[in-house]
Amino acid sequence: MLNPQILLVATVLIPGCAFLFMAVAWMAGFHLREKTTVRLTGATYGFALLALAGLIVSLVPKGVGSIRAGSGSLYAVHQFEIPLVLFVDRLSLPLVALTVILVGLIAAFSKRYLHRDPHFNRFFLLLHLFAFGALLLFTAGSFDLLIAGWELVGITSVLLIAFFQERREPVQSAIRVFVTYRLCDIGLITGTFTLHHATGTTSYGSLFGGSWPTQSIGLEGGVAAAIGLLFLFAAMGKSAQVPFSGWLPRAMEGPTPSSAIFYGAISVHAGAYLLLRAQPILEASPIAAAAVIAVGAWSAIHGTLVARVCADAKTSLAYSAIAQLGLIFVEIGLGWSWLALIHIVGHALVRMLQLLKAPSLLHDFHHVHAAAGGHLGRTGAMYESLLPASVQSWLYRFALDRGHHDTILDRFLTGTLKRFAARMISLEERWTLPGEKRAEREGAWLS
Amino acid sequence: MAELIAPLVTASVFLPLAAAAVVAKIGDESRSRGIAVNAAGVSLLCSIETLREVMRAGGAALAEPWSLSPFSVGQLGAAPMVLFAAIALVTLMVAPRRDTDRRFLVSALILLSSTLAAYAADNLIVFFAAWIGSATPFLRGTKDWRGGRIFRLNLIAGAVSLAAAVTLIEVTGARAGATAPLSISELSAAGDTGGPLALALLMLAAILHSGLFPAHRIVMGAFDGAPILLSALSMNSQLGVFLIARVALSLFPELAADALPWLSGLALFTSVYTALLGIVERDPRRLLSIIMVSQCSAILAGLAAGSPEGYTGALVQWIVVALASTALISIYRSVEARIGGNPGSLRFLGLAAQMPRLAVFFAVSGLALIGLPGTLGFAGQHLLVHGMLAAHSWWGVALPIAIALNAYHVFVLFTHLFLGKPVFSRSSVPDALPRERWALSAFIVLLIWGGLAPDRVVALREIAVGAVSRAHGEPGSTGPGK
Repeated sequence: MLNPQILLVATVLIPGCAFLFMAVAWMAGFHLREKTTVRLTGATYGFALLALAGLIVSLVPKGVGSIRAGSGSLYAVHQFEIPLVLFVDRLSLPLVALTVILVGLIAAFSKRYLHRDPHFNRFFLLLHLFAFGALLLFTAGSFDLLIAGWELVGITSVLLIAFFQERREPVQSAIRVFVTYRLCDIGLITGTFTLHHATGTTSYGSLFGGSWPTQSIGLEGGVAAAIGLLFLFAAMGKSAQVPFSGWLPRAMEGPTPSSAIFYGAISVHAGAYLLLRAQPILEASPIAAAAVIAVGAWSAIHGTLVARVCADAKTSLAYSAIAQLGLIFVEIGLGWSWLALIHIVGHALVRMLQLLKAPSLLHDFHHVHAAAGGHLGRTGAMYESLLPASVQSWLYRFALDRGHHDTILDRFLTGTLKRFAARMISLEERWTLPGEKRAEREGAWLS
Repeated sequence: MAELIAPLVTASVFLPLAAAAVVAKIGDESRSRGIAVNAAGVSLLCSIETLREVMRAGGAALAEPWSLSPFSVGQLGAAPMVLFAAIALVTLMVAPRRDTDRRFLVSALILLSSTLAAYAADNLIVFFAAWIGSATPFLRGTKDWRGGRIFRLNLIAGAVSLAAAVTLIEVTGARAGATAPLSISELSAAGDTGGPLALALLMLAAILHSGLFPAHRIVMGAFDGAPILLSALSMNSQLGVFLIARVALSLFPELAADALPWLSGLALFTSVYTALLGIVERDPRRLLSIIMVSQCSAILAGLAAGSPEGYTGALVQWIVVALASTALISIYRSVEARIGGNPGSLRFLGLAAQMPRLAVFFAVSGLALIGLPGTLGFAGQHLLVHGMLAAHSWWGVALPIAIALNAYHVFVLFTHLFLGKPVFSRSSVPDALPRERWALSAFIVLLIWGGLAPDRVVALREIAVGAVSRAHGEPGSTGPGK
């Protein structure tokens, strides 16, 4: 039987190699035919699946403990190093399996969906990079290495939102998503640094005692709370939790397969994975755990309300995903780690299927309608009809404006910063530019 | 002191100068560019060989094999020499034909020559002369562009400040009995020569050159008025950073320990403040200048932070900023040349459809600049952030904010230039020309190679980091490096 360490490394690296091959071929001036790209992709996920199967077979009989692969460091300076170690345990193995299988399925779906699209190869190039980033994120042996996977997932996500680059809306949505990601990444970077500062390491093996989900960490409450809150901030961005939920429906501007894999299945769950990985830190800090529950509950209510007033299927699915992710956050905050993991896997599978079916929703509806003899009744209970009319009206307006979150962020955060920056530029140019030159600049900095 | 096998530094400094004289003399512009590129190429080869010799000597300072040479180069100076010669070469290769008139080529060659001289100078007068030399391309024609006069004043103020510091150091060194009161290596043994006033003047010169607050707006003005490629080259010389690393830390080990945290704080403030200004800036040139000033300030902040991760991050990020920003600005200038000038205000131009390769070069360079994993920028930014947070627990958080804002600016520039509905016909905006493709590919390969093996780059800069650490008074210091 093959060494599980080699299998783990192979599972992660195979999509990365496919990305490198396609990128180098393109840069060298070779235009890969669709058929070649499809075969390469099939081989990539076929081999990745084989490596994964071997990994599972070698781990499951031993009760899925944990294995580490690799040694040394990406680089080391003074007392700081990024260990180049991949790690898989009960938490990461299901997510690694989910990633390999679902990305393979999406690739198979996309070869028909994007057939003859002028950017066919670009989609697959980014899909391979995403798969590599997601696998690195889930198998990173330290929070520092996790950041690398996290950012790769983020940038591929943004580039795929802007996939239909000729249209203005997808590009503007990509900018919005990029801003949200980068803002919330500050939480991950500073949280990781604080963890390093407090414990001298960010490697899971050195940080946590025991095996998931019964791990512990020797951190005192205040530091644990700070790190937990910073990680929560990062997770809120990636998992589209309130008040940063506005990017998720905008992200649906990308091609349907990428929406399904990113925002239905893998990428949106990265925040939840981060919190599950940092579970011992949350357990050491009731404040951070309470904050996770509060954010999750708020997002669940928000997502449920807004999903009910959305006029299009993909936006409605996006808000439904926010609601489910909110519930997963609540489970994590309560310490129900297994339930949260099962919820992630189940939600990823269902949501991906829903998003892939979204473009043919009306066709399916008519099909079922016809099959049922033209008599489909309403499904689900509308409990909000029990509320007073004035409350119903208020809730409707609240949901229609998506909880006013984007309005509040735009007016009070972005708007304030823009006004400040515009004022400062005006003041600076008053003493650096002569009057007539200043007039030329008017309007060049006020959008 | 050990010696180089040949006068490599002299060759790398004087060849571009000689080429500048030839270019100024001949009228044929097509030949002029060839002469300039060849001179820069040979200068790069000499710099590479110098670095190899310094590495073979374990990073020790090496003198030239002729006694009158004012140069002596250690690891702190040798690596920037290679880096600067490389970006000067690429700038000369990639510059659009309409830019490569005699004046541009002469200016770029003078800038190359004087910057290399500054990196290799062991004598304060030579360093000062090189500093002045690097400013000369910007002293003429500043009346023609907005903010030009104040830019010239800024250059003069920086030069006067440096001249006053050098005079003060020389006088104090002579009084203290130094046999060669202008030699940096000799003066460094005396310690704190010139007192706090000399250090303050050196720091002022560095602030004005690097465009730290409140000089940021003035330096940014050069991107608007002067040739953008020359402005970028001048910014990437990082003479302000080098002045602190080579001169201030060497000559003022005691005083610098108290003063540098303030400089680090000012640089950090500049980095976040300028990045903040960018959120309303719509002029692509200005936005590029904002990114440059913010990133260069972050390098200075890391260098002055006082933590080993900070110095290493600063020195690695120096490489990243030089390579990535040269690529970004060269591509932007190529775009300007193809579309007939500065688009003025950001709007979607959809150029990726016509120039996919330039779009990818721009995207990869931009992503490297903002720290994408898989590029050298990831290691640089990561170390810089760790260094800043280690040195300043609370306000060090400003650096990740500045990085996030810069990432936004780079992405906004990329999307507006390359995405959207194409507004130009395919024939009017050709994709990367062979000379552009080869030059930019080399930079991209370097950035990605550095990202896949950052330990090699960190090791390359280790000796320079050791020199900065010793000057910062870290344990085990045996004296400042070069």
